[in-house]
Amino acid sequence: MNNPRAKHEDREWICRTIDGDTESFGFLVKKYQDRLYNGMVQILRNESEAEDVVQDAFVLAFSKLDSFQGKSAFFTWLYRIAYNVAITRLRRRKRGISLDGDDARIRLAIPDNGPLPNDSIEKQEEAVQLYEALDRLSSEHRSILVLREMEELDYDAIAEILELPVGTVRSRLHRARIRLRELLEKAID
Amino acid sequence: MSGNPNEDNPNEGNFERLNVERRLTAYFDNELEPAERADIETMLAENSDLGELLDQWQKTGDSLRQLPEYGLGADFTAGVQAKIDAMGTAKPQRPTVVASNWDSQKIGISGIVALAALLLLTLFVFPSLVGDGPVQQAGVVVNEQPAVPSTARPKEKAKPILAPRNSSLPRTTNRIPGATSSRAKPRGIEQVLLIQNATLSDLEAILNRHEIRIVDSKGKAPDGAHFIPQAKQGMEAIHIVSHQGNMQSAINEIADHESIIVTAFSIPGQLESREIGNSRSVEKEDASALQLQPVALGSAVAISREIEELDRWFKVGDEEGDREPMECLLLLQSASQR
Repeated sequence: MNNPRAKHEDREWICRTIDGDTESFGFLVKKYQDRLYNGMVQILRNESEAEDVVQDAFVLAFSKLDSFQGKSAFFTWLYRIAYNVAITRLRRRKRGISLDGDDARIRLAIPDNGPLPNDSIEKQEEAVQLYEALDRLSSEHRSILVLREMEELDYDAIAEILELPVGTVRSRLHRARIRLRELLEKAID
Repeated sequence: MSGNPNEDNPNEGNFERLNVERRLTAYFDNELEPAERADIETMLAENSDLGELLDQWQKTGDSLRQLPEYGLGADFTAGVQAKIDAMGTAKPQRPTVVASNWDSQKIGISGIVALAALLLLTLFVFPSLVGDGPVQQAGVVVNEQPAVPSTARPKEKAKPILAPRNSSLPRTTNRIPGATSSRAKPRGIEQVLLIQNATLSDLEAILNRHEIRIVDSKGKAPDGAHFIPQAKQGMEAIHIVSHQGNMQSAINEIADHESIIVTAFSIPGQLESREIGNSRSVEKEDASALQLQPVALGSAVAISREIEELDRWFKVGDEEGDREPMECLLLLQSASQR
């Protein structure tokens, strides 16, 4: 994320895209699609919605690429676009306008590269409990945990993506961790 | 958390605890300055519960990082490519788009479908794509720069605050989209927020931090009339004024407290005026302006976006640097009043 070499490489592809070489944008898509998709699946708890969001985000990013000034990392900027698209979907879902006609979260399953049969039962159970706890978290708490714990972004990047003051990032992260812990303890009991 | 030194004073205790929680989290994430780290380490040495809490966080974080990851196939890249190629046709202002050979995919019918979908997406979901300025969709701004805290914004000279008119109805001057004002003027109360389970001192601390001015905390207009009927039922009605940005951050922070419930209310005379093209029509709406309509906003994000959207609408046509102050009415209902 803060790797200067990666940043320079991204910048190069961005410049080429703006100059008309869309193939260069393809490199950016390939580079970030899985990372962005994984984050969106965790936030939305739905694979097909996440795929749509990521696709929309890339198209939006492409259309506004000339406004990207490089003050932040490209991935942070891209993630912010995707997050805003995802939030719009979550708001629709909250209002009861399900995009798929039912509760979209129910169908999220552990991916194919999940715990293997020879993994310990304990590990598999732990993963299932974590998935269930993430499902029960509010989208705000889930999002901030995904950004910090899975994406390992710093507070400034999280604040930029979520459009929050850094102080709020701190307090929200605190409560999200406490809440996740409570849910996991409840699951163990 | 245990070991709260201010349990005798719940108000101070609340904020002291919040402060400790924030710093502890930042310590855990290695986001504290060395001096602050030392403070927390002292606290950790004196309180083993906190150390256990950090161990739990570490364990949970490790588990989250070990979860299997979801991925997309190569088809996905091709799908994005098709959409973008279609977009190149739809966006003649962009530099010439060269034919791509990512996946040597022919567009054909799927390209036409993608183009139609993109146009619909552009017009209805992402209207800002057809115009200049930051990317916006459904009230969401996608500026590269974050919504910065008040301290980072250019400071405006404080404008004189006019007390609300005796009816407490919103003012209507210069509120029509496209109308410009030569000077920043207060616009009257635009949003009412019911705050439950907070104390006045909690709110005051947050508002002060965001440089939001409390105009009146008695819930009365100059002629003695209450702002709204709810203010008569033992609630505190706090009239606050801020400049753009600060209000959003402050409401975010209030709503972000786990125990505090924030409900946003729109004022029909205001929100309905979005669809009205002249100020006279807006004035006609004033008669019903006190009938508040609850808006289902369940989170800080939703509330702040609603406010941001409202604020942006009122600012259409205002020139940069001539931003008007924003006014809100906070109805404070403590737990004992419910």
